[in-house]
Amino acid sequence: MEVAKSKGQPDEFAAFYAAAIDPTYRAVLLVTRHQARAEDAVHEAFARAYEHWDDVRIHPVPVAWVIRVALNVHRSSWRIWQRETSDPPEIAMVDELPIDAMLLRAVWRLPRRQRQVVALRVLLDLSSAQTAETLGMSTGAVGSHLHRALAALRASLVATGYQETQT
Amino acid sequence: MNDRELMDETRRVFERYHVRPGFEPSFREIDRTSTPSNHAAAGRRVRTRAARGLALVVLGSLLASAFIWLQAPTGTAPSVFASWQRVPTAPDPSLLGWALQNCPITGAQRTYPTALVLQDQRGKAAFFVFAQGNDFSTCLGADPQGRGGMSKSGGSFTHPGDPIEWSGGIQSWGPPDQSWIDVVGRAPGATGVEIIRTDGVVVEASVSSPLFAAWWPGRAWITEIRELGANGEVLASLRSFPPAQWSP
Repeated sequence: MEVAKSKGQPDEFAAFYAAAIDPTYRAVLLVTRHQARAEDAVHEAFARAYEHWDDVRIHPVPVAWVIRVALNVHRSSWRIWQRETSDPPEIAMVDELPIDAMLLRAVWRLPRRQRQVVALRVLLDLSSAQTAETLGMSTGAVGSHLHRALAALRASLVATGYQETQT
Repeated sequence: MNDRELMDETRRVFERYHVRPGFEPSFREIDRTSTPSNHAAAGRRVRTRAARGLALVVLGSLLASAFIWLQAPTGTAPSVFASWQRVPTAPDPSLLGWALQNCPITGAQRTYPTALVLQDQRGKAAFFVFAQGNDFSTCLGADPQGRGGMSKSGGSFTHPGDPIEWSGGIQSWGPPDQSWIDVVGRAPGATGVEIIRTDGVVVEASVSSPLFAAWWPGRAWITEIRELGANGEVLASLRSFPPAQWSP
């Protein structure tokens, strides 16, 4: 495979790709609320990561590099209609818990900035500083958006009766 | 539930989502045949082709996402599809007139190209490409006097330095038997372009350099796009494609 000769670290990239593709996709999915666009953005971001792997591999947090590119790709892709879906994609799980559908829908319906912060801080487990840098906001704003998001999620769960059924 | 528990639960419920299979990096290459007329360009591309291969694999899906379904037809068109040819047929002037009236996208948030570049006529239907700079819009029109209808979509080329750039996807006017695939691309320097489908059929694209376009009924996807020179020689061949997707 030519890539082995020219890139030097194919196994390293492949391992990174395997570990990071799904978490990155989930984060972008939450931000975009559109499956196809999320996939497009994520794949383009990983393609660019591959092209720039020599730089990305020494990045302090490579997945932060990828998510930033993915969000930029999504932003720069012009659209006639912004048709975000109002509900998360329905993928039933065998071990579905009562909270799952409620929580998914509540996260999905958070305001855009809060979704961005939840995507990076929670789904990708980036630090506040990394999230702030990626999203172009202060760490204080990250904390504020996360706090509001969690409060909103908690309120949604209570409103749907989740807390009462669990206590 | 405290914040940490709520964050853990959020992470857990999202673990059901995975990127659909078929997009894993293949690291396939663009096969570029060096010819005297493009030797320098070929050399330059060889240096970057390993990286470009992956980029182009993904680029197809990226551009495909730029296709937006705008208008469903009012009728069906099996007879139109039955007249399809793998080699472009003579442009139908009446369909061209209809397309110039109906295909330009208006009322969108941004301006779309209105300069007609290609009419990929195949039987009673034609795929029209309007382009300006890196932007394009497309329209499939069929049999305006009878059954059939139109679809419109728009997109943008984002990698002008690539030897072959393409966008395509499945579209439909209704039931699966009325679905088709259309492809629009850019191949600077191409005199001709051939698209090889998964069923082995070689579709000769319409070319107006640097753009090319083709469409066909059904869902047979693409296995190869060949850029041809003036003497029919293969200048470039793209052989790695993501799975076909419905245009959103």
